[in-house]
Amino acid sequence: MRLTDNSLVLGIETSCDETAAAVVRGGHEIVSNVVASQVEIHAHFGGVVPEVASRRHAEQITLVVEQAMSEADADWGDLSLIAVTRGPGLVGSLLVGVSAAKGYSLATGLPLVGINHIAGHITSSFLLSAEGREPAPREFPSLALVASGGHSDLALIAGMGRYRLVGFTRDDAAGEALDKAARLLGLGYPGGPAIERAARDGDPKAVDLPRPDTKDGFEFSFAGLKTALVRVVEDGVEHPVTDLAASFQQAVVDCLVRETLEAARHFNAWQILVAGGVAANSVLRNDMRAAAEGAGLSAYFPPMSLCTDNAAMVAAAGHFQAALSGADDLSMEADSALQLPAD
Amino acid sequence: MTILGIETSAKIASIALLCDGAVVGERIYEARMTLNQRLAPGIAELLDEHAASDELDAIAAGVGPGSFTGVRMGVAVAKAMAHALGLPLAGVSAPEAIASGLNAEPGSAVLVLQKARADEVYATVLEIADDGIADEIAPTQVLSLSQALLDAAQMLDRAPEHVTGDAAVACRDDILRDLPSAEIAGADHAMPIAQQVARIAALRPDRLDRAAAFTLAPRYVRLSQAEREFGVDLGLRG
Ligand SMILES: [Zn+2]
Repeated sequence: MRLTDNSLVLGIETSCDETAAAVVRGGHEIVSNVVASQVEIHAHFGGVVPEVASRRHAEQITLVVEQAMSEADADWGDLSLIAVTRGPGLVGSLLVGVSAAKGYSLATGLPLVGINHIAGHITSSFLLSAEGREPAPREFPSLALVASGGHSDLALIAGMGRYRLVGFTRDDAAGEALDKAARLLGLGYPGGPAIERAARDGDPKAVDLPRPDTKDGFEFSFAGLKTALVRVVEDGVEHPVTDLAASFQQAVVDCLVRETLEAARHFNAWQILVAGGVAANSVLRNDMRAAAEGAGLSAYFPPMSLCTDNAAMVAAAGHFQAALSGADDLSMEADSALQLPAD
Repeated sequence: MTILGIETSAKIASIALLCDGAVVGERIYEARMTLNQRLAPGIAELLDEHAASDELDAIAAGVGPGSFTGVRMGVAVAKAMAHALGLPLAGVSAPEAIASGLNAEPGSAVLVLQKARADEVYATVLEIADDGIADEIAPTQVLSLSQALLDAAQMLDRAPEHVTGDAAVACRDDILRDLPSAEIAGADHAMPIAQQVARIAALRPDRLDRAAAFTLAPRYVRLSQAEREFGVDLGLRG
């Protein structure tokens, strides 16, 4: 379908624990970006509870969309498209966003497109942020690392809206590994920021932890690393929690940097884009930048507000997907295990 | 007045279009697994066939209790449509829809028993009003079957004239043992349907509300399992 630099797209995102809606112009300019976070709710349980997340989404969804529309000063008639995350994610949560998006499409006659959440994260690098940060240059191929509580994916980007999965995790996601370690060390939830805080005063070399390498393409594996940490803790050798946190964080970061650089070199990427909640980690930012520089590449990190789940990235991904391959119809399915195409 | 009714809380979901009191179109979805694929296209077809997309006056949605995911789908579609079209929206509970479908005589009492988890039922006591609509006279409770029968008789000071709902159909003999005078509805009157949801909104226009596009929530009755385990109440019961 035809979309221009002025087309407004409404994005809706409910794949995990953030209820989000945004309006994006031309696939890159954020006009409004509303996120109703559930972090405090799930902190009660030490992790995201799917049924609780779904209940909260059902209460928040139209309020969040209304806020995104009013902050954008947009009427339904000003929009060209509605984009919604259709996977991967928690199925009950996805279905709230997908159902609402269909309701909006039905009511307005606007075309609808279902978006892969990972494609959304990748696209966040190309958004002009509210902070006025310049987006990543549209240079291809680019290599993207999407690391969060749910995913650790490497994707090759051939052009806007053209993504191919080239690496993934065999077991835990990077953020999931950090969450589990935080729980083990009694550092609280969410785990990523808790580990990072504790690690600031720790020595990343204090505890010897493995850097599991699958040797199989560009795959991650974090389960063994977690097991190693459990063993260290249970061995009874007294390590300060700060050292344990710093050493574990460093091991996760080392694995992420190693596979990403290998993939970038292998595919002759122009640049490395890092997105997802774990991209907010400052050690990952520093180490990835340094490693990329060493390889003659640049590493781009979106601003914090776009690293975590948001709907601006979904609206932008929707813009490019609809321009390339058209809209979806009202029978579009939610798919909790949706993957980026592998070829 | 044209009202779209959406009922997705029960095992069989349905949508219906009601024009001036008459059902002009209906879709029934027996397979829950494909509800997400079929619900929105079905609504589009109904509106198309009856050229009602811009003539719609109101939307009514079933809020449960019932399937958590199912009811959320219907409620999310209904809220989004009401939001975008600026239409009033009414939430209708499953017990109201079930009991109102009995066409029972005004003044009679209905006990609706719906299957909950394990050996428990959602129990709701209602009374038929002069217009034939069932009004809830107490909030839905999660109880054992025998406790539900006991509570209802105590609340009403007599046995309810009618007992219905999927749990009533399944436990017919047990109920008749405790309440021999009660009339137990057949399986075809044991589930909420979209026609009734729309009819209740049509006969009770005071329940239609534009703000409901933002405030309508499913009625779960039960806290989520996590809340029960952790002793937390997030107020998400609906
Ligand atoms: Zn994400």
